[in-house]
Amino acid sequence: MFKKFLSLSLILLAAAWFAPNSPAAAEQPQNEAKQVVEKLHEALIDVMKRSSQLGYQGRLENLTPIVQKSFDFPAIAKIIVGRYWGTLSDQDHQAFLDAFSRLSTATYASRFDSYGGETFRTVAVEPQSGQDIIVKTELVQADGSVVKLDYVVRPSENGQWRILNVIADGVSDLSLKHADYTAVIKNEGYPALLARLNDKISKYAKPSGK
Amino acid sequence: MTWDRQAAGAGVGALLIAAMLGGCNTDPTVNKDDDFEGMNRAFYKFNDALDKHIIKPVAEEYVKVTPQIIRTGVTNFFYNMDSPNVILNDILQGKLKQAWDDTGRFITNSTIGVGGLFDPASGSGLIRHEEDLGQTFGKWGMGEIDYLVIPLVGPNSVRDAPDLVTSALLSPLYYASFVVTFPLGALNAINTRANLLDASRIVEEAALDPYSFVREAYRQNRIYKIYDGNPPIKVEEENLDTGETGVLHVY
Repeated sequence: MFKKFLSLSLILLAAAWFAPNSPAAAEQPQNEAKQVVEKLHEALIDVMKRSSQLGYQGRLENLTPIVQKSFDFPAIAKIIVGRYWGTLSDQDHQAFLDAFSRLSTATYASRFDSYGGETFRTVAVEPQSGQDIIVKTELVQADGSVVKLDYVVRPSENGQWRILNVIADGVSDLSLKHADYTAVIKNEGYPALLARLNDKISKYAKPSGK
Repeated sequence: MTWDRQAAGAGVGALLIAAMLGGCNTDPTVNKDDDFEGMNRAFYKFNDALDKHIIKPVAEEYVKVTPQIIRTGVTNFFYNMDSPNVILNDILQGKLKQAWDDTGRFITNSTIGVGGLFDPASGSGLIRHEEDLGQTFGKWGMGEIDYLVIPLVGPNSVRDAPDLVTSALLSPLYYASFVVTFPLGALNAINTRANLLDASRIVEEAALDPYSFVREAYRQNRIYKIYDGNPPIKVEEENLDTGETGVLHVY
């Protein structure tokens, strides 16, 4: 009887010893994935709050480092260009990557141009099969309306956790761009795609006084 | 005459069944190709021109001259008119609790909410649900069959188009006199367009090929609604080596 009790206590003790460790180890990547998203959100809120004093150019300069660091642009570019990726030269790849990442930053700088009491909150962190982790967040507007923002986060080629996709109220940014950009390549060719991207960037740079 | 009607009814029924059988094995999350792209692009161009020159300027003027509280009331009113269609589709999808709640919502807003202009139901926890016949067919396992752009209506699909008929027939407005229905219909169109001004600005800003952009957004939004905001998350990248035409799904 006592022996049984002793072994049971030992097992319990062992369990108590190991229990806090193992989930923490599993949570490590989840925390990293969550951090990437939350740091981006913090930067966006910061830029929104200072939007008028910064102006478009200031917002762009503030957001460029964090956006470049948050997204896995090389992986994103490959997925967006899809089956045409293999038909392009290394030089084309680099030109697309460059234009696309600049356009992404410009889009953030242009859209987050005012602050009306918005907040971001992280709702859930869900590991998927494979290495993907979905970070579910919400953008809560001042009137209480909510935009659901789900981020697909995965390790990049050099092992850093990076955002691969943003899904806003069910609409995947990656699929949207894939559909949009490949249509241009198919109908008008790759140079036209590049020209359009650069055109968009310059349009953001000179908006109506923002 | 009666016979003609019956025949027409049977014809429509047969078409629906054929469409359903044709679509039954289709995964609602799979975005198909665009078999009618030529026609769709022509209609898209037509709708876009009409929007640019008439509907959008009118909607912008409407936003300028109408206070937000009035526009919210107008939006509430037309949402309330959609309720019978929502309730029917709740039932068709087997969401009986939701059908019960939406009925309570319809009654509350039609009475205490002064004919639907106000939305006291949301305040008491009866939030609005969006259901339509296309979502019901999707829930039953039907794919979109084919993407369609309908003149004056916009992005749609073979699966979703029948709802245009049922939602009209189930709206109490359909049974009002033409003198009432016509101006209200115009108001609904302008108010709906006004509510979409931000969304259309994003399309204008972001899209390189607006037709493809809108088609993809429509398809994903439909899947999102069919799965009531929780679509299965898929990360299937295109096979870069083989150049497979398989479409990318990342939800």
